[in-house]
Amino acid sequence: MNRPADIGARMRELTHKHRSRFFAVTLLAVLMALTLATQSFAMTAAKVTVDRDTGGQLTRFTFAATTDADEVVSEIDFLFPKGFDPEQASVKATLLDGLKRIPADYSHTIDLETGVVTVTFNPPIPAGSNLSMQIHNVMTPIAGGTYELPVEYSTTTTGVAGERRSLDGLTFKYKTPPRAEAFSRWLDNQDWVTSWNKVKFLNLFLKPQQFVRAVPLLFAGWLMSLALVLIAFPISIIGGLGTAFMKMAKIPPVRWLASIYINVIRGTPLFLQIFVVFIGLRTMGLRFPDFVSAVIVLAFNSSAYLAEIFRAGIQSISKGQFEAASSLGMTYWQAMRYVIIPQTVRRVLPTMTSEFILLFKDTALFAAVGIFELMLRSQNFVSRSGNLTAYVVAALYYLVITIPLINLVGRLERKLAQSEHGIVAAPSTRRSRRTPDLSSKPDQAATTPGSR
Amino acid sequence: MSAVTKPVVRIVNLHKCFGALEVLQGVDLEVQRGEVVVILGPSGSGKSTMLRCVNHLEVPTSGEVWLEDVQINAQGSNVNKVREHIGMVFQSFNLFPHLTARGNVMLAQRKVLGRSESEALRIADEQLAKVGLSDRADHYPSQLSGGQQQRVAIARALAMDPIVMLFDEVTSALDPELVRDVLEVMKELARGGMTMLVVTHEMGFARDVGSRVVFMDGGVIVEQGTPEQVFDHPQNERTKDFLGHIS
Ligand SMILES: Nc1ncnc2c1ncn2[C@@H]1O[C@H](COP(=O)(O)OP(=O)(O)O)[C@@H](O)[C@H]1O
Ligand SMILES: [Mg+2]
Repeated sequence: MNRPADIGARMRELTHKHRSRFFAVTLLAVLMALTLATQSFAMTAAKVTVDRDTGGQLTRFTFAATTDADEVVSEIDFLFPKGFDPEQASVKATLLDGLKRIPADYSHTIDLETGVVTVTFNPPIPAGSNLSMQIHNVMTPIAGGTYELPVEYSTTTTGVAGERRSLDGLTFKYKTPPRAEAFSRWLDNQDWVTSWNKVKFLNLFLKPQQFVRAVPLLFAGWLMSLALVLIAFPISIIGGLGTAFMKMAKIPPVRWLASIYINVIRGTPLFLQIFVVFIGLRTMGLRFPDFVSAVIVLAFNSSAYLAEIFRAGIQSISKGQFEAASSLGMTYWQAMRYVIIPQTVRRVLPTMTSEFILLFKDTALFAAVGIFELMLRSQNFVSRSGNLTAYVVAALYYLVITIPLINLVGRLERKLAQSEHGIVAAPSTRRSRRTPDLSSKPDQAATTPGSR
Repeated sequence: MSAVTKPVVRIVNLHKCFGALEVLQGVDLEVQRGEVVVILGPSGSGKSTMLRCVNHLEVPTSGEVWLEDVQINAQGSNVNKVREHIGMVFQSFNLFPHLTARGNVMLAQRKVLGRSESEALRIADEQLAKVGLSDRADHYPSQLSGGQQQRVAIARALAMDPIVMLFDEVTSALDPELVRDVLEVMKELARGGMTMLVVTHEMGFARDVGSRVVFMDGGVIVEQGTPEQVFDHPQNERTKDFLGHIS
């Protein structure tokens, strides 16, 4: 008890002799003094820590303390606050005398009503021991914050009846998890989820906890896939139109060039094209950002398909349309622009939409070259969780786009069929005598080359 | 018509081959202003090909085709410019299905002649009125009968103020009850002094309206003259044979 006084005296001494060192020494001394001063209380150096930084999950609590020189502890109670569930808790305790480990024999009980975990030591903990206790598997509430864990214990000083002591102000903290995580942890505790997950199939493919986690995580991948196709497709419309006109050009080499391009692209897998561009260009020293490379491959690929769709569409318009336009004095491009293309658009719209759907699904191939689109994200998620629910979520993300478009294709096709055959039928009963090219079969002509 | 005035259309020694097939084997024809030349002949005799050579939808293999003082098939001639002045009406109408009747009549006025929207509109409605279709201006081709479509096609050609009109079997695809309306429009046009080349099988029209009848067979003009001459006193055996089959 007199040691702090000694230090104080020595400090004063130093102050007189070496003023310059005064502050450094003061700091050291204050720290030491504080440490020594606390020895006058019961258990010392007590603290509580948790091994998770967010709530709503099974958490390990660590309680460390040193028993006082004159107290022998036989029982320690952890009074978990409201919302904490120690039902599945297990306890591990380690006792040290200095650096020497002393055997500990203990057992614990859990009061579910009050949330109190009681650990009984028999024999009791010797005085002046270092004590470390771990309480595993305590379910924490989701809401984050700073919580207090009151600890009470009983002493059995030799020969003297037990005394209750308590340690206050032992706090720990963690954060509220992100919304999906919180939702998932909430689901962990729902009875229906537990029964649902008992069905092996549902657990593997439709685990609710995985589902709510995957939805926000895959959203970015969905946006990436969508961005790829939304940028690449307009480019391929232009490229496809250009190629289509090249394919119909009068100058043979221009036609050949278009043919070679179309056939090479349509005759090789997109997967191969992706590798050629991603690895080939890089090896040649041409470095684009991955996203740009991906858009380039997609646009190149889709242009070839659209070129054939457009060419077939344009050629399905009867020659008479072009002749009528020409006979009115229109140039080739005027006839194309005002007469042929507007009719072609209506005819190729369904096939074009189908091509868009194909292209959107094809973005999945970019997983192989590390573009973080929907497929790669779901793959990663699955390999991390060992559960296939993320694939189902990815499928839903694809379907959100494709199902309405598939529907649209159907509607466009019906509308086209109606307009081609005359919505309000002309009162003629012998329509077949009309030259057949006005109502030729655009559907086959325009559809066939586009299908893969 | 007097030969003193300059012909509107002049065809000189026109030959046209499709590969080895020589469809036109030396056709000569002059059409004067205001003339209605009716071209008769069996199927495959080259009538359409000749007509299409006039506005260069077919490129002649040899020979000359003139519109007034411009040779259409000369090297470097502006075909589109010449075509502005030649109206053509097809057997299959060839209306633009994505445009209304009025839109059909307006399109080339706007894009080729550069007329203003309001002027093109005014002329379109005027021409549609002439062919008796004012009440169908906002209809799409698919909402019109064959006869109505063909009349829109005529209005579309007339709106360009052509100096000559070409008609290629314009009533052949029509139901009989619809033929008359179209012929009526053509008759009216002829009365108004329009220069016309008409390929048709309507003998009544040829006789009533034609100022000259030309009979073609095997890619050449076999015989020509006034309707009375050709119909009542045909000279050529093939003409007689053809007319015998028709009637
Ligand atoms: N674009 C073409 N290619 C090949 N042969 C053609 C073409 N157009 C017409 N023909 C042929 O030329 C001949 C004359 O055709 P056409 O001028 O249409 O005769 P018409 O109008 O008198 O019935 C026919 O034998 C026809 O088969
Ligand atoms: Mg013909």
